[in-house]
Order: sequence, then C-alpha cells, then structure tokens
Amino acid sequence: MKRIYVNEKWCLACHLCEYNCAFANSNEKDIVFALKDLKINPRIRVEEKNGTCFSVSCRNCKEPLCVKSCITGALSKNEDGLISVNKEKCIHCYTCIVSCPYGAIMQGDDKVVQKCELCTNNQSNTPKCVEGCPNNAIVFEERGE
Amino acid sequence: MNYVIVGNSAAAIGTVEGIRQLDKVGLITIVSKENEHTYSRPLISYFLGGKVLEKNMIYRDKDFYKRTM
Repeated sequence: MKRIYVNEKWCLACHLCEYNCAFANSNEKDIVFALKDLKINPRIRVEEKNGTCFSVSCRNCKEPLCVKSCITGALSKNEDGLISVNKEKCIHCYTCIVSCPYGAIMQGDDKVVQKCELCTNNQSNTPKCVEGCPNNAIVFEERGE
Repeated sequence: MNYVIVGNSAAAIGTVEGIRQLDKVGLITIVSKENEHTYSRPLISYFLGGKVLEKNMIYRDKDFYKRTM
C-alpha cells in the first residue's frame, strides 16, 4: 500500500504539515476559519531533538499493536492495510495510545481517539501534509512491505 | 492444514487473523459454548452500565467469519 514516509534530512521543522493536517480534518473550506485562534490537534507531529527533526504519523504497521490492543474492535485494518478508527465503537480507554510505539494515536477533540488515516476520512483525496510540505520531506508512495 | 479453535473471544479471533496471514485456505473451525458473534468481554461492564449499545459489543465486523474463514 501507499504510505507516508519522511526524509528527516529535508525536514525544516516548519510544522506546516501539522497545520495542513488540522485544516484537512476540520471540514472547513477556508484555512483561516479552520485554524484562526485555535490550538490545533493534528494527527501528524513534528519531532525535534538535537538538531534532527521529522514528522511522525501513523505507520500503518504490518502487525499493528493498536489494533491488537483495542478492547472494543474500534480499530481495524482493512484489506489495503489502512488502519482506521470506528468512532462509534471507541470507548476512550486509550489502550491504543499507550501501545503505539510511535505515539501516532492521540485523543481527538471529542475524546474519541484520532490517527492519520491518510486523509481517506476527510474531504481530501491525498494526504494534505504531503501536498503542503514545501521541501518534499514527507512523501506518499508505494515501497512494498 | 485445518484448524480447530476452542473459544470465540479475543484470543480466538487473534488466532484466526494470525493463521490467515500465513494460510489463506486451511479450514478453520471455532467451537464455542455461546451462540453469539464474537463480542468484547471487557465491554460487558460498560454494557451493563448503559455506556455501550448492544450493537457495539461485537469485537469484529458482522461479516468477519464469512470474510476470514
């Protein structure tokens, strides 16, 4: 499946991916209305330490610990390998948040967990973080398993 | 190879999913005392407390057995 990959050498830690993510998942048409005066809660986060930086979002693991640990079956992996959240079934136990080795699942605005679903769950057709990255530090491509 | 699994909860479902990663054709039989679709045991207390609807008790989609086994 096509996945999001990062190239930390090219990441400038501009955090634009975070803003594009928050906008893509806001259901607003205008980025200003979507983000102005709001504390954003994006599904992708830039990690920075000792001069190295890169953005982290769900890896859609081959053996996803989040899906294994989910006590309700709210997290599932489809045939393409994409892991998605069934918002109706999540009971906010946050076992998935604790079990994800990448810290790629977080509490959403409505207490239900949220994770990157490659923009398949919003109006965008392609991941907005990738589209908006000014330095091509995030790419969306097929690299095999 | 064919498989018989005793029980129909998280471990059994995990086993089915694990088997299917390696063996797409082997026959899998699940034996369970309860005649229910697989459901989440930890959610029983939530259900009794009225926090979860009965339809959300199921641990995998309705077509899980058909699709997987």
